[in-house]
This record gives sequence, C-alpha cells and structure tokens, in this order.
Amino acid sequence: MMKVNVTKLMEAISEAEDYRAIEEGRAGLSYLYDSLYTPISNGEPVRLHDLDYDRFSLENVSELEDYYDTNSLNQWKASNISRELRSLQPAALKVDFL
Amino acid sequence: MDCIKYVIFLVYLVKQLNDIGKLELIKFLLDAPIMCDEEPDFDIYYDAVFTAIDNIFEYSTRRYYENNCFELTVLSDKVMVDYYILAGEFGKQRGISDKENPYIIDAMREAERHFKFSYDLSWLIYGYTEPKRPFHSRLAIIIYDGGNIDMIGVAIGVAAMYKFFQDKCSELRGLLSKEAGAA
Repeated sequence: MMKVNVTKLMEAISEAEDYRAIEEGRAGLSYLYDSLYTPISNGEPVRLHDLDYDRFSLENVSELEDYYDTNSLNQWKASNISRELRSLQPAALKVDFL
Repeated sequence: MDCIKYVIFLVYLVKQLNDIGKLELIKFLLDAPIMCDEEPDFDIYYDAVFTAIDNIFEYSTRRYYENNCFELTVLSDKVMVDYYILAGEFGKQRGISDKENPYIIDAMREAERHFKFSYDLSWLIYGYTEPKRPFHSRLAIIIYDGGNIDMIGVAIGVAAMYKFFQDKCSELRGLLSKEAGAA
C-alpha cells in the first residue's frame, strides 16, 4: 500500500523551482517558443508568413522539437503521478489530542 | 505524428527554403492559418511537402514502377551539375581520381546523412565531372511500396542536399579562383 505524507508533499511542491520553459540567453529558441509553440499549443492559429526566419536557425527548430518531446514526456509523467494521488484512500490516524 | 510535431517539421522545411532563397515555392502554405485543433487539415501540409520535393531542384521527374513496386524521383539542378564540374577541376589540379575526390565522397555522405532514415527509402547519386548533357548529374530517390515513410523527411533531405551543393559550389569557386590567382 502506498503512503503519502501530505504535509511533506506540499512542502516539496512549494520548494520546487519555478518552471522556466526556455532558459534565458537563447534568443532563437525563445522566439520560436513565443511566436510558434505557445499559440499553436493553445489552439490558436499561426501563419508561417508571420515568422521572421532570420531570427532563428535550423538548430533552434531542432531544439524546439527536443523541448516538445521532453515536455510531452514530463506531462505524461505528471498526469500519472496525479492519477496515483487521486486514487489514494485516506487513512485514519491516531490523533494525540483527542 | 501529432499536429504540433508536424508543424515543427514544417517550420524546419520552410526555414530551409528561406535559407536557399526558394520560399516562394510554398507561398500558398505561408498565407494559410495553421491550427492544431481537434481535426487539423493535413492536406495543405502534404501539398507543401510534395511541392518542395518536386520544385527545389530545377529538373524533377517522378515515376512509379508497378512491376518493381517502387517510386523513383530523379532530381537535378545547375548547382548540382556545377558542383561535380568544380569538384572534377579540384581533383584534376591535385591528381586525385573521382573515387578518391573528397568532394565527391562528401556528397555521398551528405545524402546518406539525410536519406538514411528508413529501410524503405534508398538513394543514388550520379555525379559527372564532365557532363555530356544538361542535368546529367542527378540525385535519385527510391521509395519502396509498403513503407511508412514520412515524406516531410524526404523534403527536408532534398532541401538539405540543395543547400549542400549551393554552399559547396561557393566554397569550390573561391578555392579554385584563389589557386588560379596564386599560380
């Protein structure tokens, strides 16, 4: 049986580093993330004509693909953890002050 | 393949076309709104992919061989023809045979790098250092029946080969004219 200490879980979540999609200083990848990835993953339309092809390299497009693969894998892992947590049964504990 | 991944590949191809100065080939795609909603329309993407394969090189033919169950695409362009002529001059000046010519070997390696992603895909390069007719040097791409080849990979490979010939022609011209000047 899996046991989860809710207090410790909440502490771990609050101590986790803020999520940063793209590291600073990666101009080409950041441009693609903002101009292509964010709208397209939110279901918004994108016109390829609107992209500035001088602001990124082919390597940046490959990096965006890697980011998408990693992000998809992490989302899958997170949804598995979430499912596990939701399926846990509450356990009765002896409380000293009662 | 999911829609977002496909759009990323498509942007890769469009960037390649931009870099080789052939963006106008897929103007119809550039103006169309692309969305990854529940049922994306892939038709326009495939149109762009086949338009790129058929038009990046100036000469292009595609034929299906029913008896042998494969489709053959043959491509050629002035940059490819010039590349082998220049490579031949480079070899002659150094007394190197075509088989040992590093530029001829490089072109084979470049094709292998871009087209070796499926067992159902094969390629051949016929490069002539002394061409006998227009578009004599050719790149042949063979796609066997029953394979599950993503054609955007082929389009990306074709664009990469064009860029390779384009860049290397400049490199060889610079090298040969520098040597001619020094002589």
